[in-house]
Amino acid sequence: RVQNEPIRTDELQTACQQVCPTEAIVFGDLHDASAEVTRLHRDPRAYALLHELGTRPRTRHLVRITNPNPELA
Amino acid sequence: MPPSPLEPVPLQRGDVSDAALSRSLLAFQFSRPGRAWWALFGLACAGVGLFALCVALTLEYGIGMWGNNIPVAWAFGIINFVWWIGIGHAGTLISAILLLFQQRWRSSINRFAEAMTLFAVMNAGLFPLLHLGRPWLFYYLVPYPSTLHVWPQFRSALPWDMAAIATYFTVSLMFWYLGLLPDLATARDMAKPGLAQKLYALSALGWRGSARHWKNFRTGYLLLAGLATPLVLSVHSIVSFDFAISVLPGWHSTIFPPYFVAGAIFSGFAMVLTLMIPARAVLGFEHVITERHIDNMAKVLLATSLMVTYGYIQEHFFAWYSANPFEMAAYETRRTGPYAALFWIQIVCNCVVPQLMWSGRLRTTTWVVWLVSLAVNVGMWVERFNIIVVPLSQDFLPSSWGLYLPTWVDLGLFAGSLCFFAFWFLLFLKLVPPVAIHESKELRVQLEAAAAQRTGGAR
Repeated sequence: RVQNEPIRTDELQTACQQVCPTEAIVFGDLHDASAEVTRLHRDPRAYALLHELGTRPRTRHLVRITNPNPELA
Repeated sequence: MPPSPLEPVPLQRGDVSDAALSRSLLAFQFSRPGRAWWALFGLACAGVGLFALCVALTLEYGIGMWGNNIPVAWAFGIINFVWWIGIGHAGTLISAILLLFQQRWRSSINRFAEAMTLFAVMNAGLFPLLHLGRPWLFYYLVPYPSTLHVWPQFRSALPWDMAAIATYFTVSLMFWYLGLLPDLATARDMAKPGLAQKLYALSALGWRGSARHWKNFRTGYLLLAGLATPLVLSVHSIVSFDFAISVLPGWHSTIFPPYFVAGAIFSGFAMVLTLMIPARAVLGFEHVITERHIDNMAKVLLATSLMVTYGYIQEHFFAWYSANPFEMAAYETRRTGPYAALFWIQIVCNCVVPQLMWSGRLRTTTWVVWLVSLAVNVGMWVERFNIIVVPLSQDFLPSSWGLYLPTWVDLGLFAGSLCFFAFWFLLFLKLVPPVAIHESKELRVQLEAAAAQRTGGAR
């Protein structure tokens, strides 16, 4: 909370997120359905690293697409 | 000289009257230390200096002075911790568990072994403190009402370790001191007036040897033995939980608690033998620590070697039987990977060499037992290295794999901890009767009564 008001969605950025030129890092409030990070968690490319060990990580990584459309590559 | 099979080797031999025992077992305390003691003590002090230097460097510059890094985040620090705690367990087993089992042969070796436990636990306690990035915040592991409104993570084995080791040290210290009281009083009575006599008198806490004192002594001693016994099993089980409750292949194994406890007793007995065989020769204790004691201890060494060997076989078998590729890879790398040489040293030292102790003749040949005990000390340290470093160096994701090499600070801390132990142990040998005088006298009375009963019955 800042000045007794809850932090707005996607208001805060971490230093690494701020500086990243490709906007590869996203932080936020997973409880907030409208947050960018919640949307990315539901992206079909998202996977949890070593989740089968029962670690239940809070971070998701997005799979790198390695076979782009031949018209782009 | 091998014992004749029809004549049991006595637990005591020679002149063991009360006066003779008091005199012979306190002789070193009242004489000037010889050159050998001073030489060893000097070496130990030099080592403590090295230890202090390495500790200071670690505290000042941090864990970067060690070889630890991702992925091998735990190495010498934790290996040394587990090794020293394991060594400590033999002392408590000899004093407490053998007391409750009424094994009379414990009485001349128990104080020696308990002192070893105390100093080993002191050493062991240092390493978890040092391996913290901010050691001055170690008290975060203690559940105190913090102004930060945070408790320690009770699901982690680290607060459990804190509780277990603090308890173990306290109980061992009380148990050792209580057993020492009558002997401090004997030393007080036999000392010439002077500073030594005053110190013995103060520490003897006014022991008069009255019947009431002895009754209370007996009760307290048995109670503390009863408290210390479950600690032998629980403390090293908790230490094994540091590894077993994780998910790492090679660590996540239910056999760890009994396997670690057996290993602790194994390495502890080996250390007792390593220390005791030279000490009994130099200090002239062969009349109360006979080949029978060494024989019995060698048998325990053999038994625990077999348990530990079973543990190794079980681990590798179940890694294969599980068909889990990560488990199989973790054990494959132990046998054939970059640290394979250490694995095979472990197997030879812990599984092969102690098999010599099947032979009764070799069990009573003291220099053979001494060499076997040295091999076991080395083998058990290397086993801890294999358990801790190898699974960390090669875990689930190949991108995380990495090797570990110790720095000179790591080696200095290890050598320094050995010297720190030697420092306290040499002081103990000089200042306090290492063999329990009152228990030896009690044993003589018991042995005479048993002998009288036998000849009386044969009449």
